[in-house]
Amino acid sequence: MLGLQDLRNLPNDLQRKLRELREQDWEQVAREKIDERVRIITAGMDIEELRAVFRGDPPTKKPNPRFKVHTTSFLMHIRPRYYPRAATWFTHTFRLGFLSAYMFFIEIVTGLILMVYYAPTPDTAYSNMINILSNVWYGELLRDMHRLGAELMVAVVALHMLRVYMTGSYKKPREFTWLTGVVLLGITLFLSFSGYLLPWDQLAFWAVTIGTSMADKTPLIGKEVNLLLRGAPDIGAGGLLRFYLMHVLFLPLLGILFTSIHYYKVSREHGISLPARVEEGDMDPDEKRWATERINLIPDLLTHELFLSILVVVLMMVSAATWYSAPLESRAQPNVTPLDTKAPWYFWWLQGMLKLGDPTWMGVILPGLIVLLLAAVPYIDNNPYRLAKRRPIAVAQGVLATIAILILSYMGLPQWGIETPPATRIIQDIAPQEGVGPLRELGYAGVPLGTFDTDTYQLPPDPTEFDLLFAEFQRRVKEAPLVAPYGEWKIDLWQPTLKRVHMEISWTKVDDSGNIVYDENGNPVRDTYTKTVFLHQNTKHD
Amino acid sequence: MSMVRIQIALGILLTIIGLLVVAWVGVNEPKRLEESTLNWEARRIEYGAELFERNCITCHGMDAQGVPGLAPPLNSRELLEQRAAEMGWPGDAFGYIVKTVEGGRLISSRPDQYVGNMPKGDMAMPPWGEQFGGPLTQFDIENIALFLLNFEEFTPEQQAMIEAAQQTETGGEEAAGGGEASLEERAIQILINNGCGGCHTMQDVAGMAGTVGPELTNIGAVAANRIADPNYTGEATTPEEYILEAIVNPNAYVVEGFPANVMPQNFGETLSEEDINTLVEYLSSRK
Ligand code: HEC
Ligand code: HEC
Ligand code: HEM
Repeated sequence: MLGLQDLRNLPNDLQRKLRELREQDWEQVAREKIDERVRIITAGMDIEELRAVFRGDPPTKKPNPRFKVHTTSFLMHIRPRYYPRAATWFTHTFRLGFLSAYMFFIEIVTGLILMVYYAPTPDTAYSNMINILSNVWYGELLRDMHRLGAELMVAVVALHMLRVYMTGSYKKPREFTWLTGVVLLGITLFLSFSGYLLPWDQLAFWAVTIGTSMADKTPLIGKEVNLLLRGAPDIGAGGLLRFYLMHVLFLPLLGILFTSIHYYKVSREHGISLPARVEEGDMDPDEKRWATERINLIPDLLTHELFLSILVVVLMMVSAATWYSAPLESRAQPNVTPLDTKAPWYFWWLQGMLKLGDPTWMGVILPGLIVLLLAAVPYIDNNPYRLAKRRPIAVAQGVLATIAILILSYMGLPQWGIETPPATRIIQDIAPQEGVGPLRELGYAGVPLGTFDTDTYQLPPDPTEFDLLFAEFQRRVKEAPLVAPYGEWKIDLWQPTLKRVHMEISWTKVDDSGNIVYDENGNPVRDTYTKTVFLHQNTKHD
Repeated sequence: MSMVRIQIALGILLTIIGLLVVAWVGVNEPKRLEESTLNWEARRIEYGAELFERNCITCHGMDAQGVPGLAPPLNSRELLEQRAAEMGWPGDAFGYIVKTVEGGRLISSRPDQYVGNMPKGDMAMPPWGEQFGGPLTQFDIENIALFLLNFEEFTPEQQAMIEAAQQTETGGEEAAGGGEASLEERAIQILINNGCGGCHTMQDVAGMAGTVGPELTNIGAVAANRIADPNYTGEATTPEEYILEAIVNPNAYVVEGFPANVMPQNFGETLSEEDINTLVEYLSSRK
């Protein structure tokens, strides 16, 4: 059969004649038109080829039309045409590099939509969050996805680094790839951290205040660095604007730049490393031949990546729609320091380190050295082998570093190593200053009116959840290391839809040497700690 | 079947599931948005209540019921709406509250009833908005306004609940053998409930921090000095009598440096005899 190409070579009148003839063959013409469209859309494959792709059949023609896509399409030209089979094994990469990039993509898409509803000023930021949650269709889902994506991205990037380390894939010739990776890790952490401030709630405000106050501890230029970040001695309108611009402009651009360089190295220069056991293990030659066979990107890897993308986004969506909920605490109050300030989990290790010593050493110099060391890993490690058994010390170091990070993170939790006075602790655990806690969990409907005290309270035979909570309070007050402790809750209805829970713990005051303090009439002096919590009928904590 | 085909099939399945999730969330959106709106308004009311407790109860009373002589009651939506209209405010009560609280009030509109800080030579109510040097942001003040406008009438069932709770309170204490609350506890309750704390300070009592009237920390000892003072104009002969007189007939003797007619003149009528006795007994013991 003649194709359009052959037609062009015929004399003009013959061409016209033939065309007229062909135009009478509707089916043929339609098929050609569709073919042409498909070719444009797939950047090079005709309909027959597309069918073969979907059926998992081999290419229909030679040269392989699927390779043409890699030259015609911009997005596909970034990708390699094939990988050796072993480099695509799931247990080699766990697809973590791909997932890092994919998370970055999800963050950009969800972030761009959120931007529409957000203005970065202290007056508007927090109300904008409430507006997104209460007035924007899919607003909560988007925000949850963006937050979840950010946390996942940090986790995935860190795990990606761990896998590259463990498989020894940073070694020659991939040192520079590793170096760009370390920059990407930094960008990822700062992206998350800068986004943290934007809701302008207490959680955000204080985490960032503490974070930037570490910059203050930088030797020599600390003050200047801190000022540069915050835009003023304290975080305010200037600081918020700076963090916003970093979050939506500077860091994403930098991220795109470095991801491009990083990926260029991977796809164009070195390819993904082969698993060490294929590269340097003693493998049966046949098996090795099989393991290094080419696997084409189209269709094998591309369908896999698309499948993975859909799987991940659906899982994220289901999580965001069900159990995952991005927190929003009360609005930032620069003059109220919350009791338990907590950094985001990926900085707990740093918070843990800060508890170990001087902030200049533990918060700036040592972390700085750790980053330098990390960047230098491929240049320091001159052992050419990649098999774990040939680099036992490096593997042990990796395992130890991971364990150290986990332990430091645990030590970074507010519960660890920070003494809160017992009465404050008890009440904070029942009704934390920020966040929910068991009392707010019970809510308006869950608490009865009346006065309850720890001296006379007795758990009824069929206790409600409130009874159990008060009994727990009673137990903790009685067991607290205080002299003659006494606790009382007074719950009344202040407004038809608002209950007021007044909590009080009192105890006999003792001086530093443990002696009871008396007033001038000879009565023991009592200290008290009180807190009032308000519960509105319509509050819903999720 | 090849991996490619399996993944295409699963991918299509997942896409359908994804679309279903989106649709499911979408169907629930109107309800969620409504609940979320209510939830955030409720949280703002809770927070407004907290701010009110922190900043305003010294003048406007523990329950926002007002303190006679000092500051007006705010515990009724109807009342606030009426006040907005009375004061010629063109907008709604929300705006009236926000603007009043933001800028404070220079001179009381009812100086015979509520003087606020005027006897000290200050504004009747200080400005609260940060743009006027106060501690509260626009958002905070809106929260307080939302909270104040949430004062509505209790339903009869709620009224019954409140009374029942008060009954078990006293009943419970007696049943537990804990006996009556101590003199001090009862007296402080009366002082706080009647707004004495808005005008008077007692250094060791939370909620007593006003400076419109004299400090009462050691009033028992002070009372003895007052009657010994040659300028004393009242009829008391013992500290107990002096304190009783100061409460039920404040103008019998006006403490030097403090204005007359500011301390409410009608505690003799509004307080029960028992409460007055408790106060006199307790205050005279403070030496
Ligand atoms: C120094 C005592 C004082 C404090 C503290 C105080 N107020 Fe006032 N408030 C007054 C006085 C006095 C008035 C004026 C009454 C008048 O003009 O008749 C007033 C008036 C008001 C009014 C207008 C009521 C009306 O009937 O017109 C509102 C609303 C109000 N205050 C809210 C607050 C809030 C909210 C706070 C806490 C942030 C607060 N006040 C703290 C003394 C005080
Ligand atoms: C609106 C403000 C205000 C309120 C509310 C108020 N007082 Fe006073 N009180 C004053 C002023 C002003 C004085 C001083 C002038 C005078 O002696 O009348 C005073 C004087 C007193 C004195 C005499 C103090 C002395 O040093 O001699 C006593 C006792 C006293 N008040 C008790 C009370 C008690 C008890 C209450 C609550 C039931 C109360 N006051 C509520 C403003 C107030
Ligand atoms: C935003 C962050 C990052 C993105 C998007 C990213 C992306 C990728 C991708 C897609 C690959 C291909 C192989 C694979 O999927 O595992 C890869 C490989 C690699 N990455 Fe990353 N990466 C990031 C961060 C890092 C970090 C933090 C490091 C180490 C410090 C790192 C070091 C490497 C190295 C050395 C390779 C080559 C591995 C090999 O050839 O087996 N990358 N990266």
